[in-house]
Amino acid sequence: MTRVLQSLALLGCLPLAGVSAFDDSASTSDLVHRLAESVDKGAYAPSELRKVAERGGVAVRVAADLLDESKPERASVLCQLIARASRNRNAHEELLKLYDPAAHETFYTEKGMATERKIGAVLDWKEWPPLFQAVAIRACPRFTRAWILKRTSDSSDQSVSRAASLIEEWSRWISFGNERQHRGTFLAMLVSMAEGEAMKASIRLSTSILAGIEHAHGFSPCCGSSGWLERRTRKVPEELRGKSAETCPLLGIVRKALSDGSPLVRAQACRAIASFSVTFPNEALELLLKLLELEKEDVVRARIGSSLASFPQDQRAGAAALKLFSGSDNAIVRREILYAMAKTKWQTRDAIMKEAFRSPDEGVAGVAMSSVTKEVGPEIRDRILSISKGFKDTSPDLVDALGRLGDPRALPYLRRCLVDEKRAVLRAKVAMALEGIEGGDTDKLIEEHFIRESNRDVRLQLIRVASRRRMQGVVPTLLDLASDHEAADDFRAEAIWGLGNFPGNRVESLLLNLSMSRGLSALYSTLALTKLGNPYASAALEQLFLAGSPSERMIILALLGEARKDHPLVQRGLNSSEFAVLLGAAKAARQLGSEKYRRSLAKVSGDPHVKALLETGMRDVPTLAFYLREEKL
Amino acid sequence: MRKVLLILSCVASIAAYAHESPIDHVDRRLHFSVKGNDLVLQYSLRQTPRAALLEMRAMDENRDGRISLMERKQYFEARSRRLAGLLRLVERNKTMPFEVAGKVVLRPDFSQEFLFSAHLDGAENLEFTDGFSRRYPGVLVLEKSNSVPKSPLLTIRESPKMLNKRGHVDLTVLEINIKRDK
Repeated sequence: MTRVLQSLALLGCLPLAGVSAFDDSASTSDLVHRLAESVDKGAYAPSELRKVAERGGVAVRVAADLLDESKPERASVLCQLIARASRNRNAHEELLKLYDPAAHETFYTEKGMATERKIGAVLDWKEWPPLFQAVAIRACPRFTRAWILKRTSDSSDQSVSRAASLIEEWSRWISFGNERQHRGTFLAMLVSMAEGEAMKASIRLSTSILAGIEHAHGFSPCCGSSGWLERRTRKVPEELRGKSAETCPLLGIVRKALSDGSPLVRAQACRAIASFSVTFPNEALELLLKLLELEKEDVVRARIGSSLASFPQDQRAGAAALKLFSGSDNAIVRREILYAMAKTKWQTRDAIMKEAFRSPDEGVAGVAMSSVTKEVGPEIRDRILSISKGFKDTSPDLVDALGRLGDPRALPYLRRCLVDEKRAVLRAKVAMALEGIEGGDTDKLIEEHFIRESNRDVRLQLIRVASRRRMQGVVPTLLDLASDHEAADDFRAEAIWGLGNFPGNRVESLLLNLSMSRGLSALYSTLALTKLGNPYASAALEQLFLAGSPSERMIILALLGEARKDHPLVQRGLNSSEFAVLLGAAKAARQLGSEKYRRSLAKVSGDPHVKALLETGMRDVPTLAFYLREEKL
Repeated sequence: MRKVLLILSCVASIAAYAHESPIDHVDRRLHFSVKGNDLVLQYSLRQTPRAALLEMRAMDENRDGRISLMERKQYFEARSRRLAGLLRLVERNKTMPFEVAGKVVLRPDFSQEFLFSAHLDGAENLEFTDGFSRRYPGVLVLEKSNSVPKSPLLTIRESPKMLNKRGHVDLTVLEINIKRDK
């Protein structure tokens, strides 16, 4: 019984007479005043704050009136309230208009400046309330920008430190995809700051400005894909992008910082330069390579190594990475290069890996393993297989690398791991690695081990692998599991779906029977029948889709994609206004890969609300972007 | 004379990560009251910002990226009617349909508040089933109510038919008992 049900059961019998709740009748103004009073009396409860914060823009407006420098405790709580309530500034404008018109008025209209001015006045207080930077960026960005700009030439410690902390906070806000309004003006502000005296005197201000350029110009750690970068740089105002590398003011700041006396500034400049890999790829790479010729500090060399990843197709970057790798004893530098190399098409990949295995200490070999693909040359292949021969323990990096290699010579090591390894999670990894290794010996190992395996998750993984490999020997087990009403849901679902790989009367007859039932077995058996091309399945699947939850609809679409089976439901899913369904449909459409779906996916990408979604850093949005536009994750 | 509405309350703190992440939870708050011969239900759905943002795809009839007052009105009227149709109130074999009783109110936390009412016709022992929760599970909160003088006593219990799955309510079924002053 869940906590919900327990609570219901327990509280269902208790007389809760006269307890007030559903306090929506209280005005927001009253609630905020009550909160301020309770802080003044020392009787403040955080739950009170959370409740008031749900009132959004109106709460911000009322709290702004109550900020008082002579009452620091009250100011501290009200600032927490404002920070929470104004988090909505990251919402799309249309969404704010619908759900929080007061916030829309504050953030999007001239009238809202009155509220911004009241909150922004705190910037001049002697002491800022804790974490006020977040309040300034969320609740009064226009005022804050003007306040920072007034300090362009103020080199006093307090001014520089405050300006830097605000820029850092704003960069963070931007890096999570929260800034919908002021990215362009933020960048323009950075250009002005970089021209002033304050920056010259402060390493912290310099690095914060460079980090601001990195995040606001293009790169976002939560969505650091090439398509994302391209989309974001498109939105940088023309005058800041510049017509050429020479006239681009932002690149000018970074170029200058690359020759700064501080290694911290140079390292940050290396990060910032990655954001120019779409607009000025040649110039950006040349700047990095030029710095590499002279740079002696490992902290900067490591950063150069990681920034080379922004040029995955450019062989000059690969050559530079090899040179840097060979000439560096520092494990951090070497690991950064290996991480950078993972998704590149550099021709020097094998040579870098060879170097890595020559001096594999301090985690270098493990990172090198993660870059191993099926395409590695024979020398690296033999080296990894030779490592596996002498390796006693189960190394997850090595197991994964062997799986990607798909070489049957890895079987002795993988067999040893499967038999001797005590940790089930590692045995499951071995099972996954076996999927990519062709041949009857692998089938035999899977079958043998399936019988003796005690852990349910590993068994589940082995069932999945066996059915994907279309191992006939596993069919009786799948039939038993599929018919077993007592079996756990995940086992049964896996077995039923797996049967879709084995055409034949016995299998289809069972699947048809199961499809007449209800719930999970009906869903997966109909999907398996669809995979087998059974004519009955299409209409039945449509019915299940219409009656299903978003989760079930997503499963249907994802498995249609996995089975490469086209169905009208895919197009229907692409029109959905539910995230999970749209995600499943986009994945299926991308896997089906026809011209029809390429056009449909482009249309979805052009939908104004999907576009607005893709601009955010919300969970799983990069995955959707990946399927919509074939971006790199 | 009974003057008090008796409402149970529970706040389930099941975290949103109970599901695989692409699924948007729908947290719901229900508030029942009796007004005259009607059972009134204030039904609040709180969506994730992601779900609220994408829902505009369904509202924006002319695909201009903006939601006009008319588009908003039409969308939420239709949504209210659909939702009312998924709520079931039964006494023995007699069904009392819910009707839309007010405009949808949108809140800054991306909540949508619906107002429904059902004629009781003297019914006292009811079973309430939320068919919408079957397809859109999430956290359930039953709100307590302020005392309202002369209103009947309302007792709400979890029904044995209530379902749960993966840490949250999967189908809301409640037993509602109404006691009036004779």
